[in-house]
Amino acid sequence: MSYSKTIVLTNYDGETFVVDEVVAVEPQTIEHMIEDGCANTSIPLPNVTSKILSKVIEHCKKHVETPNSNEKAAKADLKSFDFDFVKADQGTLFDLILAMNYLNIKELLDLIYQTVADMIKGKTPEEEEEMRRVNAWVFSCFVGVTCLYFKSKKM
Amino acid sequence: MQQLDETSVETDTCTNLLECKMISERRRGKTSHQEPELSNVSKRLVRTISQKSKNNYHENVMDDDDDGVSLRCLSLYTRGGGCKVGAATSDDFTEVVGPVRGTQDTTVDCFSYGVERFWKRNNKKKISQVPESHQNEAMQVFLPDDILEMCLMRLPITSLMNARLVCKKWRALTTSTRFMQMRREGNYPTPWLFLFGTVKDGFSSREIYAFDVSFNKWHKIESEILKGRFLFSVASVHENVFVVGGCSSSGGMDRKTHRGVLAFSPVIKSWQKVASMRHARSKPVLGVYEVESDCLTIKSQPRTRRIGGVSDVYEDPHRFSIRRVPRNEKSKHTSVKNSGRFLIIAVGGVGSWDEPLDSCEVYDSSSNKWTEIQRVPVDFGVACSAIVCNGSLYVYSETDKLAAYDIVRGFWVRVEMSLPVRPRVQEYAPKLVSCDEQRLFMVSVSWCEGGGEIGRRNKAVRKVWELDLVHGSCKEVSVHPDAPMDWNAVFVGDKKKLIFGVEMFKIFGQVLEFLTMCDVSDPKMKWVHVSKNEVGREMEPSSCAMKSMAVVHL
Repeated sequence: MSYSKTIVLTNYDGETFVVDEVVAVEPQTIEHMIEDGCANTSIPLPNVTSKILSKVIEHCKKHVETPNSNEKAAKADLKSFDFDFVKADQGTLFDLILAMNYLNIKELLDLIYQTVADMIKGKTPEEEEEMRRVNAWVFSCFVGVTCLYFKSKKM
Repeated sequence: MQQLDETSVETDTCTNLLECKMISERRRGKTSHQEPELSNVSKRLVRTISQKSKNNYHENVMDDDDDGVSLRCLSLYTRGGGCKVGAATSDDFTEVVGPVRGTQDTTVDCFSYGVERFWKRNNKKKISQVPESHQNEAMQVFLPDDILEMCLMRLPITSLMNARLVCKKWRALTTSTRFMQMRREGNYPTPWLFLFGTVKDGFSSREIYAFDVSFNKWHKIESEILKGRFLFSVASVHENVFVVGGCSSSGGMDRKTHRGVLAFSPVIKSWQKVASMRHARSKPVLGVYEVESDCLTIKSQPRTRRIGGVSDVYEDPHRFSIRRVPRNEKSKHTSVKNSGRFLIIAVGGVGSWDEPLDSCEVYDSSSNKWTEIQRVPVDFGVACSAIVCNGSLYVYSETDKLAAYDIVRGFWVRVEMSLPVRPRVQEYAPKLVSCDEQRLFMVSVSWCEGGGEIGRRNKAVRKVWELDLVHGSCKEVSVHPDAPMDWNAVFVGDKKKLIFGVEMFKIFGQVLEFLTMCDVSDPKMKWVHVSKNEVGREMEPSSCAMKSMAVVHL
């Protein structure tokens, strides 16, 4: 596969990433930008930090490079890659969610939603409460409500 | 005030032995007339004493060593400690002062301790939260609910139920009809099997056994309403299970056959009565048809001779009742699309006098009414299984005939089909199963090749046949791995691509149950065991004959 054109992405920190177009069109947001012709110089992505952007590009590259065949090995490889990809710490995961949501990469979104769901799955309300407390990010819930919940439980 | 009095009394006694005696007498109720003056004096004394004790504690102790113990206590108390007066040795006061002070102290103690802990905990919580929230403060402000929703949507129902308990916001997010619909559309609900009609302690138990396929776990649901009811039929519609007809015995030999229909909603564990059938039936065969178009009409039964039924005059208005569903009702219906309209068709069964029925009726959810439809064709035999597939209700009879009821046009047709040639084992009634609303299968037990000279049981095999309705042919698609031991094995297909089977039988004095599953989208159609002997031992052998099962996606 030969990459003809490259796209320059500028992130939140002002850093630039030079990406092949085939890779860059993975995220729908960027694809639309290119289609609309606003990608002549560089695409600004003000919501995404460099750490996350590099991660996202890595993911897109992997998915583009993997042949779109039904080969079992390739699929398994991709799966393990995805598995490792979402094994990041929860702070990163949160940033990823937001970035995905902005960039609109369907596969990755699905993957991450499922990851978060798996984290919640099989937990008791108390455990969930605990988890939510530790990771206030996933659960933009109010401490007040939590306290109320605790109180009601005690009664 | 009470407390102050108590202390005053105590100080009094400690400082002055005479007064002490008098007060003790007062305590006993002997010198009640002296009370006002004494208490005044004592209050004054308290003041001085407490001052003294503040100034020099040691001196105080030295002053009155007659009653040293309680004084020490007192001074401790005035210094703000939690003193234990129970230690006082003086005979006069232990009984009075001890208990009162003791309890007061402990309550205060507990309270303050509790408060302290409470605050500590809260503080800790805040402290632990600070770094993270600080880090993501900007993010938290606009963390989108839609993302949260997308995550919660992927939870299986048990986790979702827990998630609803976490906080009000989550509850609000996850209980909206929109959320539940999105969840359904995203294919996130997982299959649950509900086993009804088990028998325990010689009585139809009120328990429903629910099996969560994705977690491989059994749950028990108590439902008082089903107690004593048996031989009913179940059908699942959307997220509900309908329990149709059945019998109940009120002690002795009396047995009542029911017309009543109950809707069980497993998610909220609630029961609801819906309209009763026109005839009492036990073990009718049921088919569920989900109506897509709003303009479906039900053709009621053309006039036939009937004994003691509804007269023509009264029946006539119902004949086209569905067509004449008022417009507003229809529009209301479309607005609540997720609880779409459906029909339940009940065919045959056994009536109140143990007579086999050939009448059929249809329940329409939009009008909450049962309408009688054309009877099954003459000499069709006893219907043993029914399923809706491709817009028709297919019914199989014990005499190996297949008939289809055209729901839209409202009549029965015989389906000529080259049914499995090999003779089937008579005791095992074939079951019709439909998957995906498109494919029609039949599960039946037939003799294996090689004749049946030795070990008849061993030679019988349960097979799955797929019926090709277009060409009127059928072919064997799968063989069930288990030897057919249960003549009342239940096989139910779900809306997607799975067929679930449950077999229960008694062997070696124990009731065993086997749950199997088959994925029809897989060309091999291999059966897998999903659960073995988990709940069967709690049941009585008659459960095998009484059981029924429904599959619901939750």
